[in-house]
Amino acid sequence: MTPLLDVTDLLVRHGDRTVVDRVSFQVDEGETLALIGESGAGKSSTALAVLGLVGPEPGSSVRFAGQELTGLKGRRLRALRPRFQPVFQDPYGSLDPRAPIGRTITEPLRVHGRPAGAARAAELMELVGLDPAYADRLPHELSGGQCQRAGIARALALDPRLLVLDEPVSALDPSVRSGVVNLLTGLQKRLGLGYLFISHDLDLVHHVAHRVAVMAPGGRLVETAPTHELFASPRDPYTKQLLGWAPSRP
Amino acid sequence: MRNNKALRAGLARLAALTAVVATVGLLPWLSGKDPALSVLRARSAEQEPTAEALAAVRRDLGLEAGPFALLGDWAGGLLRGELGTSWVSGAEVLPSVRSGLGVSLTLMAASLVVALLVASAVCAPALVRGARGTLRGGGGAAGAMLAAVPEFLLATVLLIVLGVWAGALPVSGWQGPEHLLLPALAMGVPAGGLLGRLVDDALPAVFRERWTDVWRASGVSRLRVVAAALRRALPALVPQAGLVVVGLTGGAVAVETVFAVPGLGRTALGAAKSQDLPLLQGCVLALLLLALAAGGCAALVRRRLFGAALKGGALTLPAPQPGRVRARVPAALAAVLLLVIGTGLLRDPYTVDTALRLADPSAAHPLGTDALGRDVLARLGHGATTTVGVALAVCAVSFVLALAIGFLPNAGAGLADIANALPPVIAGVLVAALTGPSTFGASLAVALISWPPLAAHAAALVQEVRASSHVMALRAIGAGPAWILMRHVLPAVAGPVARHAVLRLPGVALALAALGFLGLGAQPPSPEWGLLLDESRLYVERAPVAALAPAVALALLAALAVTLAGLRPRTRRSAVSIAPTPGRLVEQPVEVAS
Repeated sequence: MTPLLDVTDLLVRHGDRTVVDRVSFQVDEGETLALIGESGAGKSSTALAVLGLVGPEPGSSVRFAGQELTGLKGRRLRALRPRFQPVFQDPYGSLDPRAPIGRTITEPLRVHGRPAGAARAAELMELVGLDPAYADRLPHELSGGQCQRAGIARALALDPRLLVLDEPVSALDPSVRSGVVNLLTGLQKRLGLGYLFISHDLDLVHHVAHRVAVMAPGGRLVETAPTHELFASPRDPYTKQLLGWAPSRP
Repeated sequence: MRNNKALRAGLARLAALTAVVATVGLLPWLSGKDPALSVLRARSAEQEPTAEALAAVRRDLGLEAGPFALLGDWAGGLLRGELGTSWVSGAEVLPSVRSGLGVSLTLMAASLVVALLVASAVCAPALVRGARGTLRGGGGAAGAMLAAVPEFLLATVLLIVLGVWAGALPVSGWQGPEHLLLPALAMGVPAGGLLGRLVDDALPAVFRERWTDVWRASGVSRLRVVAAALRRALPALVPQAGLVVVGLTGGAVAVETVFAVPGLGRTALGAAKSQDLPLLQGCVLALLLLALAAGGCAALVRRRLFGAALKGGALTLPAPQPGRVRARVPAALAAVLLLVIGTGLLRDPYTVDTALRLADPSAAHPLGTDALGRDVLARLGHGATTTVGVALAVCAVSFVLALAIGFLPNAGAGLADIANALPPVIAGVLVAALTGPSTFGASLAVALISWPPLAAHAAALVQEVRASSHVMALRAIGAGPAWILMRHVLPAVAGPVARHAVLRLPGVALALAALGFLGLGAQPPSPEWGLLLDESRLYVERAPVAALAPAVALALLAALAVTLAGLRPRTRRSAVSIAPTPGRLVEQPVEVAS
């Protein structure tokens, strides 16, 4: 079966610095692949490259359901975008501060010329556990957790198959974090979504991911394994160090 | 990368400077005027202006050869050290420019001394409190107030009070050191206020740094703490001080005119008014060279003060904290102004009553009458609508320019430098030379130089919005560039920049009044505040109220400008602070919420 997302030899440079170094991984339907590593390792750059928001170097391949995305530009890329959507870390920053959240949630539908009435907004808000009465509120009138739910609702508006979750709960208060995590796992079960889940929170990853890819500083993937296997018996020295198995170098 | 950037910025600056010099060189062609007749008159009073004689003059001037030949001739002359001959007097331009430059340099040196004294006085309280460790909050308002007083207004008031009433000092001419004092005060006090305010704003942040506490705690003398704090604060301000010197060239035009000082500024103004373009070219070129020299000196001083730490931007000054002003103050000022303007608008500003010339205030004429028996209050009210109306249009134009350039920051870099360094009066002189003195010319001149702070603000906001993750999310949704620009970036930027533009309205109005005062803007009999002041100052001994009324109105406007600029709207998520921008009258730094 063709994987939902198939990344091969992804190479991203900022100027003459390599931030993602020939990375390969797959995500299947209904599966969560977690990408873990220290901050600055290149996890977010990987996410942006998968989303087609930064251009990878020649030789990289990002296939979505068998369709090559690298090299696509403008209208042709935009036509494919509904099928893979992001959720970003900063719940407030990822919503337009001047737009009511109802409008933000249905904006993807308007962009693609699909019907975007109040009923659809209410439906999406209920899907993520937001009271539809909040549709007229501005982001700063909502809590961080509510904003993140609005961001997830916007990502779901176009019926995507894959969500790229870049540290989706790390900016939230611990008290609301589990609510959003449970929402994400519930949505995955109901809709059969694939998740590329980027995080540095090992406990969280242990809880939500089916498989884990470990990224070392410099943007290399050192190890990819099923979650229980990786946490039970890490093979790579860097993974051991990251999980606290080996003493860190003096 | 950094070197590339610096190189590109340097090239942009060089290109902009070349463009200005070329514009100056092409003035005779750009103005589209036929100077043949005036040149003919200047050369010989008897000769009949026949078609052949005029054609001969045109050939002589090389005006028919086209712009490039003209520019080539002018540049060639420059290289040989020739500036051509005056169209009006037929005399060599170079000697008049040289003597004017000498006078202006003397005057500027004297006003720099005044400026340093005023600046020391302005920041002395902050230094004393800083040394005691009791300095809190932002800088005081004194410096900002002094900096907002336009030179032409201060010069007129000094002339009236010290020169005419007290009779203590000579008020016109250039015969001895006593003639230097009043002009130097008029130019030096606003410049000193500006310098003092820059230091005053920087000091609280310096004194908040830990080392000052450590020094005080370990018993270092207050004097040494003060000296060290100054040494910490001053180098970063040196470039701005260079621009203050540049600003003096603008002040020189107004002040030299008021006190009849035969300097470069007055010569330039006279040349612009009489369309004597070769003389104007010479004067503007000298002023530009002066500005460049001031900038170069500032760079040298800065390098000397900073030394090796300058490389790699290792030393930065903590962000200045301008003093806060309550909204009540500008509101009260605006209310007083509106009251005067409102009552004045109900009266007739044009009716001439020669029986009632220069009358004292009475019930019929609350502020008296002017030299033609016209009601001063009415002229003040109607003048405000002229000035403010034009200022609004200028603000709107600079708003649009700023938005356009804010989206293309690289394109505007060199232009912004030039516009920043060009005092409004000099811009007014140049535009007036091209279009003739008119309200349109004055507003064009002010619009041309008032957009850079707005554009810098717009560019900062555009950058911030474009980098935000909600714009990233929009791209991921599949929104095209036009959708993102029109529905998200532009609305986010337009609001704050529009507020910023409105806050600059009084400053723009003052710049327009300065041009009106110099005869470069609105023309008689239209009632315009600067023009009112200019007309009434001649009769100040007989009708002091008529002269003081526009002076007070302008002072209120200046106070409004500075207090509005001190207002800081509540910030929502992050604030973009706009670095203090140089240039007289419209230089108040404004912090605006994003």
